[in-house]
Amino acid sequence: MITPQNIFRHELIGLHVMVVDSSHAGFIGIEGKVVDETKNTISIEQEDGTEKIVPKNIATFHFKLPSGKIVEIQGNVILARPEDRIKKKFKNFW
Amino acid sequence: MFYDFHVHGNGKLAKEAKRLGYHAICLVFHSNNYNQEILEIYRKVKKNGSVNSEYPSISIGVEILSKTTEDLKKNIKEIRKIADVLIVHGGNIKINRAACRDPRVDIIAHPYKNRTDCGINHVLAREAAKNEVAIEINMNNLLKSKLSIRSRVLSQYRQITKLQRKFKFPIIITTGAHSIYDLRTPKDIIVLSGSFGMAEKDAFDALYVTPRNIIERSKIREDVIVNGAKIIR
Repeated sequence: MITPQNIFRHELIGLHVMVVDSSHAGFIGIEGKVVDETKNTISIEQEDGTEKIVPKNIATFHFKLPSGKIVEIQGNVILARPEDRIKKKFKNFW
Repeated sequence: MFYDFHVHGNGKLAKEAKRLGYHAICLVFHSNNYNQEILEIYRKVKKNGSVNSEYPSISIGVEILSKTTEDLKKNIKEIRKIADVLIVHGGNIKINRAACRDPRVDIIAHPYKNRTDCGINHVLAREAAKNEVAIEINMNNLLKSKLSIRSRVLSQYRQITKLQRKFKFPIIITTGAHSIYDLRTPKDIIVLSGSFGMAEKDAFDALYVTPRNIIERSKIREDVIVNGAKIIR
C-alpha cells in the first residue's frame, strides 16, 4: 500500500500531482494525473486533456495519496528510473 | 528578539535572562544526568514560561556527552525524541566530525574545548553547512579565562569566524551561563564579538536568525520523511 513513508520508492503513475515550485515559473501550477515517468521527467495529464512533461530536478511536487494525505517531494529525491528507485538509498533521518 | 541557547540553570536564571532582553532561552541538561525527575522539573519551568510574562519562552535542550562515535549515534537516536534542541559536547575531533555529519544534531557546543586549534577545519565546515549544524561560540570560555588561555580562546573564535565567512555554516553565540552572573545582555555580546573579527550583522544573525531556524526546524521535524520529502497534511 502506498504511504508517505514509501512514496518515493513507489509507482507514481495514477497519482494526482501539482507542481508547487520550480526554477522555471511556467511549470508552477501544473496539476493533474501522472500518466508517465522517465528518469528525469514526469508526464502530467491536465483536466483539459493536454499532457505536460515536467523535469524532476528543478521542480517540487505535491502528491495526493489515495488516503487523502498530501506529500511534498523535491524532484531530486525521485530522480531515478522508476524501477531503480526501489534500490536507491535514502537518509532516513533529518 | 534575541535567543540564548546554552543556559544551565533554573527558573531564576530564566527570569534574569528575560530582564536582560532575551526573548527565548534554552535550558540545557547533560545526557549523563538525564532522568525523568529532571525532565519533569524542566517541563514545569517551561510551562511557567508559557503562561507567565516574567519568563522568556523556554525550550528544553540536552547536551550529549559521548566519548566514542558509536555511543554518540546511539544517544542522538534516543534523545532526539525528547529534546527540543540537541547539543553535542564538542572538543574531540572524532566527535566533532560525527556531529557535523549528522543532520539530527542542532548545535556543536565549544568544538575548540581543550584544543589548540578551533576543532573545525574546511572539511567539517562544509559538512556543517550541508547538514545545517550550528557551531557554537560560548562566551563563558572567554569571560572565565585569563592571560594566555584567553588569547588562545580568542584566536580559536577568530578561526571559526574566518571559516564561517567562507563556508557559510550557521554559527550561534551563547553565554553558557551557570549562574545569573554569567549572563550578558545581547548588546554586550554583539560588541564583544567585534574583538574576534565578527561583523555586527553576523553577530546579530548568531543571536537571532540561527536559533530561530533551529526552533522552526525542530517544529517540522516530525513531518519530514527523508531529506526533501515531507507530509503537508
